[in-house]
Amino acid sequence: MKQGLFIGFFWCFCCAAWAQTSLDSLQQLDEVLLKADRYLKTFSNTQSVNVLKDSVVTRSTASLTNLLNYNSGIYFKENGLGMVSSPSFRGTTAQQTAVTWNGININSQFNGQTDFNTINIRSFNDISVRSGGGSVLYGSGAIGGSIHLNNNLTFNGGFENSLYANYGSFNTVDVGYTSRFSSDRLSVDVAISRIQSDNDYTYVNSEKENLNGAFYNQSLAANVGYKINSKNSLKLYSYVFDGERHFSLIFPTETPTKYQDVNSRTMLEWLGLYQRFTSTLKLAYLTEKYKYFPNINKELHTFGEAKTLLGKYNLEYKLLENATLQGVVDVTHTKGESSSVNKTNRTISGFSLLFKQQLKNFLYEATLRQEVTNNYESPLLYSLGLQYKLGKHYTVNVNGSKNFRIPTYNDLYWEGSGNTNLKPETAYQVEFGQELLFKHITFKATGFYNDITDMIRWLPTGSLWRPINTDHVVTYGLESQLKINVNLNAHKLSFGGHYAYTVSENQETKKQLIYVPKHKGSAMFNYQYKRASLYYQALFVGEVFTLSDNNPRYMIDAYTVSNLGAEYALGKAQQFVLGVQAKNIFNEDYQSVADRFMPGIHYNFYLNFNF
Amino acid sequence: MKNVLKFLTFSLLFALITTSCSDDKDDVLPPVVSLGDYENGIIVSAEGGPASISFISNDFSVTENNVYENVNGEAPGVYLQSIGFNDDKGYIVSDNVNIINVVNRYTFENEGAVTAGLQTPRYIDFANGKGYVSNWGDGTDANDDFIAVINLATNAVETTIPVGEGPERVLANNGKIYVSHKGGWGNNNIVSVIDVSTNAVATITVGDVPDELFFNSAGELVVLSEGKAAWTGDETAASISKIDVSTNTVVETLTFANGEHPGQMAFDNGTIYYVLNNGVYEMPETAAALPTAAVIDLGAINTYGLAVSNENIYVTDAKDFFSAGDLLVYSIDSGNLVDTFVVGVNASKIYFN
Repeated sequence: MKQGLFIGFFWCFCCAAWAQTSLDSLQQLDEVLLKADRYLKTFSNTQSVNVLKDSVVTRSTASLTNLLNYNSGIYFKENGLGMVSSPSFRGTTAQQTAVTWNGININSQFNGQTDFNTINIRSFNDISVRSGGGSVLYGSGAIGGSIHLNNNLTFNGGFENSLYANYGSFNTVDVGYTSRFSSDRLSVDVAISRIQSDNDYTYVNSEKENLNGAFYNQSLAANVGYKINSKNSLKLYSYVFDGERHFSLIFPTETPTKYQDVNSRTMLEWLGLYQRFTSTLKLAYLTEKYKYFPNINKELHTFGEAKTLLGKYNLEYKLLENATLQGVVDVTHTKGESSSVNKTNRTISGFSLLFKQQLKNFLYEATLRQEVTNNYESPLLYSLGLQYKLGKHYTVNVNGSKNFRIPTYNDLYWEGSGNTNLKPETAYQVEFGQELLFKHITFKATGFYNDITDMIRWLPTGSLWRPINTDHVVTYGLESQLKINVNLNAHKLSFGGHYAYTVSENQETKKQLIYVPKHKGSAMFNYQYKRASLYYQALFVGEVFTLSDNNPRYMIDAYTVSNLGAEYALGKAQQFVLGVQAKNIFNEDYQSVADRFMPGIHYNFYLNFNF
Repeated sequence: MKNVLKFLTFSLLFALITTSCSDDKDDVLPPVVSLGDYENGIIVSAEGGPASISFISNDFSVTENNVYENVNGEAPGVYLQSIGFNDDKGYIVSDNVNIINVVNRYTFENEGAVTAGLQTPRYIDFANGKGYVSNWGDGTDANDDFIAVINLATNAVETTIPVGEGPERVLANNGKIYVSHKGGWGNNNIVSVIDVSTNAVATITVGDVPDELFFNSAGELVVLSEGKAAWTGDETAASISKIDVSTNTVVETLTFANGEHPGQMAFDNGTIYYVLNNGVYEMPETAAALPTAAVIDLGAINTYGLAVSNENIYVTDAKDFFSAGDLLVYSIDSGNLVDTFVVGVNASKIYFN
């Protein structure tokens, strides 16, 4: 109800603002974009940032898991289609990947991670993957890398609408509607999306069916930007997510369970551009709430609820024509409570200094951050990145950083078991990247090395399970990416591929971490002729161990999943796109998690209408 | 298949011997026909995942992991809580899967299953030709716990008997079923006594968190209560209680020092064994005080199961809970580690078949 009221007010505000804007100012002006997450541009030069294009998003199912599985080197451990999904980025744990919403870290306060199947990608117009350490900029968990969900605001874009509808096997309905209006001073952007699925596929080579796997989620994102004058602008971002999943069963006799999530995020940002200074003030309020029903037929449930208020001030000063210095002060106050955690407040303050200078072909960026909290000893975080451009086509990057993952509410405050003496997990990281950029071909390869200590694991101490800082893990490997675009008259060919080689080794046992494949790759071919396109997506995931002793008997086999799709654009401006997809066309019998079988061949149809 | 072949071989052998030696049949004892591959050995069940069952022959010469899967071609559920044995059958209780697979205890061939009427089943024992299974119901619901009564001919739940929260071990004795209420997701402090002829339930209050129980030589019911752990915010002492079952009253309680919470308890040959802080303690069943020193130091392991038979103490080590565990065999006499066998993931229960 509260959210309903909020949305109501929001619309009133939008309409009022709209009315004040003179419509004739819409014409003849260039589109201007206000980035929601400026660090991706300003302080990510020496690391790989991969922006996922709209066309890629259109061809993906609504879950962030699916989008990134096919378009990045990140590995996903998915408990069956649409169920709990956790990433391993560069061989790290699920808590060592940060997810940000318009620049704000949104990993759960309770378990420190994001379930990638609780994010509907159609609520965002810019999804970026940033590889490698970024704790100075994005906080806890930015060790393997970070995923950025952004709503960039456009000015002078006029009135644009976009409707997406997808229907497919297992009675899956995936719809999204985006409406944007922008003038030179006002930008309004609303996106509504919903996906629902019976998710009752039969297993490949088996009579068994995915039981109790139905899910739905819906989200509403509404964002407004208003340029007060040439120097000041205000941006308001808001987002509500509501989802319910029945957790699928391995055995039909298991008691069916379900899980509900409700998350909301609101952020007000004031951006000021004053000659050499750029000032950004952000105020954000985030809520997360879950309910777990151990028996779907009963009202009894466990829950967790956290509310976070965040204030952040960033002052950027252009020291020289080619050098900028930024100071950041932020305060995060969280109030959390769950069935197993008494109401607890936690306040974290942070101070950062960022410096960047461009000298001809050479660029370097250095960052520092110190957090202060009374919960645990927080380490000094830092990074240093160097970039050197050798000619027009070749760039070399070197980056080293110290990053962390802070103890979560569950780790610290779990009733009786919480360990308030925990330290954050810390990671030292170096990476060396090379980039070749030609007209038709881009190739990137980055070697990385991560030394992660004080990994938090729950272990029994007597009869009691408690989290302790124990494991020491080293991850290293290679990430690579290749893009090719060739146009021959009306024929357009493109290829995009990712490959990651990852070793993630517990230093005590010298064993590979469970659920971290050594090899993971994905590829996308696209062929377009005039209005028609044909595309092929492939995902390869190498074998993973499910037991920490790396017992080969309990390995999950490698799998390759291939999808085929075709699109046809109609309308004068090709504004109407019809698509059809066949997924897992070779009917691969595969599981991402032991005994959690994924669907065989299945189909869907979609249309994307821009007007 | 293997077992069919074996049976055929034995039949043939038997036939040969009986025919060829028909003249002096009085001198020849019929050969000992094996009841199955898994007779005369130790059965170790592992909770998983993946759940599994291991076999180690009594002379330690034959070992086999994944017995159930090897025989039946599929895994025995994910969460194998315990196994109960009755006549020639084994009842494999998988708690989160709400199922009991019934096998021939010597061949481990699946012969049926109890698939309906269970909810988080924990342990089974047998009386009056029926199976009695403790069920937690919903973990979050303190008021839906029950004992399911199984018709062993049909494997159907015949009736259910409501009991207090968290019924755990089930022990049949002399027309009664004794159930320790460890408490499930919560804590409890009772032993339920069910009269199998009327299904009437009586309760006996014991120390907090009662788990293992057995009958001693004097016919008293001995119960190990682990006590509430410190994290509950209401720590209580652990104890071993002796109950006179003719009056259902606690006649003797040996109380542990504050902060001591023993895990497993076993009984063999008039001696009580328990594990406290990775030390194995032993005491005569008649002892009036708890022993002060451990007889075996298990070292830095994650003790998960304990059983004692004849000259050996068997302990399972769950390692890091995400890899194959070990079965450690200690000699009672010397206190030394005699043998170690790799068993399943989260190996917890040890049975002598």
